[in-house]
Amino acid sequence: MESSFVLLFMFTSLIVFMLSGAGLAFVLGAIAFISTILLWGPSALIVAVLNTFETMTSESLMAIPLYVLMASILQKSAIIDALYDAMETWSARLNGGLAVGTIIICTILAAMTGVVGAAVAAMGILALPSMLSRGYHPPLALGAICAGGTLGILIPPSVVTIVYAITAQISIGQMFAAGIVPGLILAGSYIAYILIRTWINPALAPKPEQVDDLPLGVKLAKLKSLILPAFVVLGVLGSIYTGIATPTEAAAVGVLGAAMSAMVTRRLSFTMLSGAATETLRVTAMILWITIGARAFISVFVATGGADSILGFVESFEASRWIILGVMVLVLIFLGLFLDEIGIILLCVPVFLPIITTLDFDPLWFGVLFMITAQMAYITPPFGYTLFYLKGVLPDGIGIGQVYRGVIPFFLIQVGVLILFAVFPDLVTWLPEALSQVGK
Amino acid sequence: MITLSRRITALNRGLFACAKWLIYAIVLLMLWEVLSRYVLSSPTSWAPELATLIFGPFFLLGGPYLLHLGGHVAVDVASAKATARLAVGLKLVGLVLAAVFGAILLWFSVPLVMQSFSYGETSYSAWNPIIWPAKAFLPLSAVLLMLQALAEAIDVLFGPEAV
Repeated sequence: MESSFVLLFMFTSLIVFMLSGAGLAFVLGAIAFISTILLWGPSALIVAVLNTFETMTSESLMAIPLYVLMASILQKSAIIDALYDAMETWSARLNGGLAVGTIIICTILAAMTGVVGAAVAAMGILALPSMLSRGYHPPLALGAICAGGTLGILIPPSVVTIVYAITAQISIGQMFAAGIVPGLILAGSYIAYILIRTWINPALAPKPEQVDDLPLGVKLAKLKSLILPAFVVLGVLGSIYTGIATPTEAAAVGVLGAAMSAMVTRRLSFTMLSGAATETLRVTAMILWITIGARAFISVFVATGGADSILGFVESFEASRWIILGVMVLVLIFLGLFLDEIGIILLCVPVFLPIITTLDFDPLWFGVLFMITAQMAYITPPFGYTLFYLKGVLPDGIGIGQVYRGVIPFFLIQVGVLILFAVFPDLVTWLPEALSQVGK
Repeated sequence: MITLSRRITALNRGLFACAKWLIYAIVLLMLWEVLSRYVLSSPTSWAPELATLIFGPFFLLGGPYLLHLGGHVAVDVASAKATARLAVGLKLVGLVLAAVFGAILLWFSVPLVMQSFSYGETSYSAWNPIIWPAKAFLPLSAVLLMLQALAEAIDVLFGPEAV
């Protein structure tokens, strides 16, 4: 059958079935299989099955469940409560201290677990009530929680980053390194915004009337429970960069470290390990089944020449490469309104990457831009995950409208930071480059 | 009918509950490899490969029950706003797609697994194990996925919340 006709069939049915609310893995897989039969006959499907066998035994994809498990165990070992407790004592004297503290906790959590839902839900339960009872302006408090929670997407180790690196066929370690500086800049910008805003108008975030002055020793002791988890994360990242272990092996060691820190906080139990395993299989099955479907879909798309024709189409434009980049980023932001970022990566990266390399852009850097658009998607309606997580824990009297209002300034900061990295790619690339020098 | 759907769901829930423990087997195998490479300085030939062979069955067996949990990535802008009748229709479309995906996967993976079995195909690595048992989980999961799609369809049409 005519290949351009099949391409048209693929994309119309993709859009129609996707909007029907069917599982994306099955939509992609079924369309890919049917297109394969239409184009090359049933025997061509053997290739698709062989690809699936390959996915089943991929060492790098195996890193995904290991990082999810590490995060899940760390998260269940009561570090969030310990962090929150420490933050409250450390930030008491600061204007907007609790909001700033929320961002800092989210940054630390991002490095330890990187689970957006967990960070948002925990801050919604712990930080939100105390911010509100102290008379914080609700949108400011809510926006800080949503925006802070999404930092886990960018700051390593992050599962989204792993999926991007594997799909783009670049090193997971390099991609991890690329996320560090941008993640910190983003967190720093949120903090700067809160400080400036509350400095101009202190009524937005009143200080407590009376501050219990704890001796420094007590304040430091509150950080004690963080030492072991911090070691785990630094150990994992360190062993990847120094090249002692592959990201997959490092993750397995990280699981051991996480279990040990849970033992220290006396949270290690059979129930806990069982719960962590359940979460891990849920996330892994979700990502890997969609990987099977998306790989089948993309391989048909590439084999029909769809990818080449898009590349040719882009090249035929005499437009500046920056305009093309801008269009791609807008497409990502638009898709982020409806679609999970894993799905977006698996579908868009194989199509966009040849364009990126043809235009002489750095795939690492594009990955960071992508992660920021994913964070934008997380805090914007209608498909912002953080909004849903937060909705579940909102106290009476606070409507979802106030959450929407609260995320606007943080969304604008994300746009600003995105533009900043687009204009100064060195901010993103210098760390991975410096580390790869050390590795040699 | 409802009993059938419950049995299927119970079967897949049970398999999910078993498969989830495989992740700890993967962790232990990878740890053993790291340990034997750096501490005993004699890397094993089998530990990392066995881990990758477990990985496929691990995530494949999670898929069918995930369909029941509603945990697969989906775009719900339309279905969230649809009327009850339309929502049932949309749900069935999704389940049919899942079943089609499973059916095609089953149809084409069975001959490859049979072939692998009858030739005693090995991985050609240093350890060189036979690989059909790991491969066999693909058609198995495809069957389980189709069954779960059937169970979900029964629930949607005849279950207590059916319209």
